[in-house]
Amino acid sequence: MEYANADIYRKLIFYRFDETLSASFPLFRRQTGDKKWKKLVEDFIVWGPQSHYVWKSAGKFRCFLLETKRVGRRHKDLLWFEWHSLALSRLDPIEPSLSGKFRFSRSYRLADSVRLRRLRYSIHTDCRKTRGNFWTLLFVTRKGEVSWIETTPFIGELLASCDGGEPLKKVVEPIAKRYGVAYKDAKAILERPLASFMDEGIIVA
Amino acid sequence: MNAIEGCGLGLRESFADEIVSVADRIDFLEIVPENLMHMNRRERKRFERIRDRFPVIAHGLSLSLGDTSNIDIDHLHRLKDFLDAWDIDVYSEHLSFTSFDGVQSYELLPLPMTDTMVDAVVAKIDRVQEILGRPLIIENPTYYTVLESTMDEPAFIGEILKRSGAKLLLDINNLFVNGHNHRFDVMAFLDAVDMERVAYCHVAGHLEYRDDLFIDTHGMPVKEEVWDLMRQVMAKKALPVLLERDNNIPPLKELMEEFETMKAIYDGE
Repeated sequence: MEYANADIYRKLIFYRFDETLSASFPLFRRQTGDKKWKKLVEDFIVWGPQSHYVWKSAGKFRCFLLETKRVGRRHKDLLWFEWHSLALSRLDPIEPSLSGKFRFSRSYRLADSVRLRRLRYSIHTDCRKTRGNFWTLLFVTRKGEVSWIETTPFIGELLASCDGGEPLKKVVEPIAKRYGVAYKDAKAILERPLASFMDEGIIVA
Repeated sequence: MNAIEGCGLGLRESFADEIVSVADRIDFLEIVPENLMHMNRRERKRFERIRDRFPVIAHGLSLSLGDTSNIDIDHLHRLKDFLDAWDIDVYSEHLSFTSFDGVQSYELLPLPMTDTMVDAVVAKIDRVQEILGRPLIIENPTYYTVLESTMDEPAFIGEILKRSGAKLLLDINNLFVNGHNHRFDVMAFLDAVDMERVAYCHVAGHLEYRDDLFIDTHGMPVKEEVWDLMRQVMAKKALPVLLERDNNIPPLKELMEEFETMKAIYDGE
């Protein structure tokens, strides 16, 4: 049995999700045709988002797309970027560091307000071209804005290995060896960017 | 419960940075707690400034009073913590369901107006009031379809108010839209409402989707017919009243012109 104006409710519910998800994933929305987008949103509604907070439905939408294998690798990269840009905007920036001068003898970890991932595709073109193994760092600035930078594979791997355990020297050595770089040369090259990462609150002692 | 009085405005992100500049013209603000429960530091500081300048009340969206088999205790505790932290006593929700078994539609869906539903909603309101530690105010929602019902809307709402002790948020635009869509006499509805149980009112704009169907979009200016109905309500009892705008939100300056129209009606001009 179809109730009167059931079609209106279908449209209203669709509109709610369409509005939120389009605003949360503007690049992905633009790269997905209208017909496919409509189908994805409708299927997501049936899949059953469970959050009291409308903004969090965007994260559920990404889970839905990944779990149901509805997107390829290039869009997985894009969805990661757009979702974490949104989620990080809800986090506080790191307080100015009181941990003193940057040293290779200390251990560091990525701050909670940072996300790091090796992206294969260039998300800011049309995601169709691979870019090699560059890494993208998304973080909350001291002013509370979400920003991002791309890093080399060397620094990307290094940051990914910083878990607050071993001193940085011990983390750098095996990676430098793998890249055929002497530790003292690696240290000289890394000191400046890593010190600025500490100043930015990207890595914390 | 802190008394609210005068004319209020629904706070929205698009003008949150500038709302303090019109603090002398607005008697209270209404916030949507679900939108403010994950504020970052910058947003918290901004809300602290707002809270310092305005009485603030809360209007929830996701309680889903009609989803009577499911109550999200964790969410209610988080909500209580939020309301307590910001010293917000007045909290309202819609007499509808927005989720079923926890799955959200984010849309206000209608309830069957039956004795069984009254029993179930009253039981849920009791539990909600107990956990939140504050009385609940329920809003008459719009509905575009009538599910199998054994009573009319005033009787349904009246019975829930009487048995739960909750108060009514009388949404004047919703009443107008429902009266048009379902061809009932809005004045007879108002006569059936115990005005002593009305905590405050909402006014908003709606879309004339078809001749026989208006939709409560909160996306356009308030229609003259709704202002007229507000005059009728105020003639019965001077109640606090709040302007809601959720979509298509104009610049604050323009919205305040509409607010001043509401204030003039409230003041009997």
